[in-house]
Amino acid sequence: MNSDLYDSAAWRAFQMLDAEEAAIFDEAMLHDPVLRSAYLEMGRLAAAIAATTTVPLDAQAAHLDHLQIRLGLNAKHLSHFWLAASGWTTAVVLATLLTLHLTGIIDRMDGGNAAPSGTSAPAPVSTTSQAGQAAIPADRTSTGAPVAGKDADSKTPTNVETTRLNQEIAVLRDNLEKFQHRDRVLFEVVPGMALPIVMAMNPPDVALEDSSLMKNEESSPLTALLGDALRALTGAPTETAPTVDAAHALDATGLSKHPTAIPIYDAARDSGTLVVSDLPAADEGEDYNLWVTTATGTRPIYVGTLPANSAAGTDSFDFSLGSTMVLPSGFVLTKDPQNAPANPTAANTILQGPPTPPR
Amino acid sequence: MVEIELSPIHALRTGLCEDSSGEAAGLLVRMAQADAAALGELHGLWSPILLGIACQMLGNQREAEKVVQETFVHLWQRAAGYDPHQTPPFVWAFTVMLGFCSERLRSRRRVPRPVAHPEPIHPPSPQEKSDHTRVLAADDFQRVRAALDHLTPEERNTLVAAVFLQFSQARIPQPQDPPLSVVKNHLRQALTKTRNYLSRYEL
Repeated sequence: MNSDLYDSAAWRAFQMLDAEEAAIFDEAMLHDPVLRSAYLEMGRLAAAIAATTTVPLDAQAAHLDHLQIRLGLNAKHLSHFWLAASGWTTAVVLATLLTLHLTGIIDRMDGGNAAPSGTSAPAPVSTTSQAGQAAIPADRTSTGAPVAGKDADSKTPTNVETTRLNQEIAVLRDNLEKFQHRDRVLFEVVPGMALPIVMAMNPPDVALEDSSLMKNEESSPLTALLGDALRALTGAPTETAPTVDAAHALDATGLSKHPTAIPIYDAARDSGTLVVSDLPAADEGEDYNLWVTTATGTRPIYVGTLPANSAAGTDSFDFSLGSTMVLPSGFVLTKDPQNAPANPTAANTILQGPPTPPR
Repeated sequence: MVEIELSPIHALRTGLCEDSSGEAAGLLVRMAQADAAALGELHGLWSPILLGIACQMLGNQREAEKVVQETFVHLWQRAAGYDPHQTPPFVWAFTVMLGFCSERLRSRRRVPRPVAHPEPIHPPSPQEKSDHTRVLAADDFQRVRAALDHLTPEERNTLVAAVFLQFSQARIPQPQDPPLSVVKNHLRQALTKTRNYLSRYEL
């Protein structure tokens, strides 16, 4: 601790004291109004210098929306889920209707003996003498397929009907894409409302059935892990032992004969924990590196390096991806030369998840 | 006027960052009454400058955005307990954000971010003036800028870097960091000069 009052206040304001010194300073400040005054004055000075030497950045309107949603101030977030659900429902209904509708049309075309109900166009596609051969819509003629029937009177309504159906299909497809796009937007991560992503990571050569998270679920530590994560989300007190102990349980169950890892990632908070088990210590001059893959990304994104001293046996590591907009589709743990993380390949991949289903 | 070097003044009142219009304090009072519109107004008022500051502290705009959001969540939740007589509103927000930035910097020690892929940020141009008088009074901008102009380049750079947590215990030390003793010497001189310069306005 510095002897000068203002020095101490400055070091504290600039976060230059270590935890112990900061605690002593804070305690002293409680009993010394002059020290407190010096600290507050330093805070004013720091704020003023920061504001004076900084160019403001445009904060997007979306930031306020996210903030309001997070604080529950915007009723829109409630409708998000309703809209999302209704979007999918509508898409399913439309797809079903489309299927039924097309089935009916094909049946009509196939049979050639039933006029579309409710329409005045009576002449469906007639068949030639070869029974059972379905007529081909007029727009297929460009492919060289023969048009059934030679009667122009029957062909024209068919063309009209086909065109109309094609238009309907195009509109429905367009709607479906719109709904899917809207749902993607609506399912965008809402801070504080997303559940953690949990997946199993195993060596690349491990079979899918051996890597199931839910195998032997009675004694699996996953329940404990998820319980902690959920409790952290809801702010409820933690009752169970730390996740490391839970991961240790893998040994007792006999589930894990090879190194495994379970990443738990809360996209809403960009906060994750990687629990590794039976991971051998990295060789001298080597590091374990964590990578994340996304559905849209072409290459894995480097997350960070496991601390060299502790990356052995069973341990847990906190990580973040730098953005709440990243939705991981998988994680990869590689072993690379120290300070030289290389893109994951079959050669350097130690663990990956989720496992790829067998082909 | 004769320039004299004053000795450090204790219990100095610089009066910086006062909310003389009472606008921010009024918005905080409304926020304490769960007025969402007030939150929107305060966000519009402060978030650009807080985002700029957080970017400088963290070097990562996405992290900075999250920190700013955390800050406003904190302000919203604690607005009822805020005492404007203790700390001016903007200083309170700045101090809260400082804590979140420090937390972020500390978490990087656990799993370091890749150095090879720095996130794009928008560093301020030194020539650019940013007098947002609804954040800080125009007079404050002038006083602080003039005070900084009286420092040597080393003192000024060290002081500004310290404000942006570049010497924070939470931050991962960098090989190019100057020795702490040098930093503290520059800071002492910079602070003494700055406080003395600002004190003239109080006489």
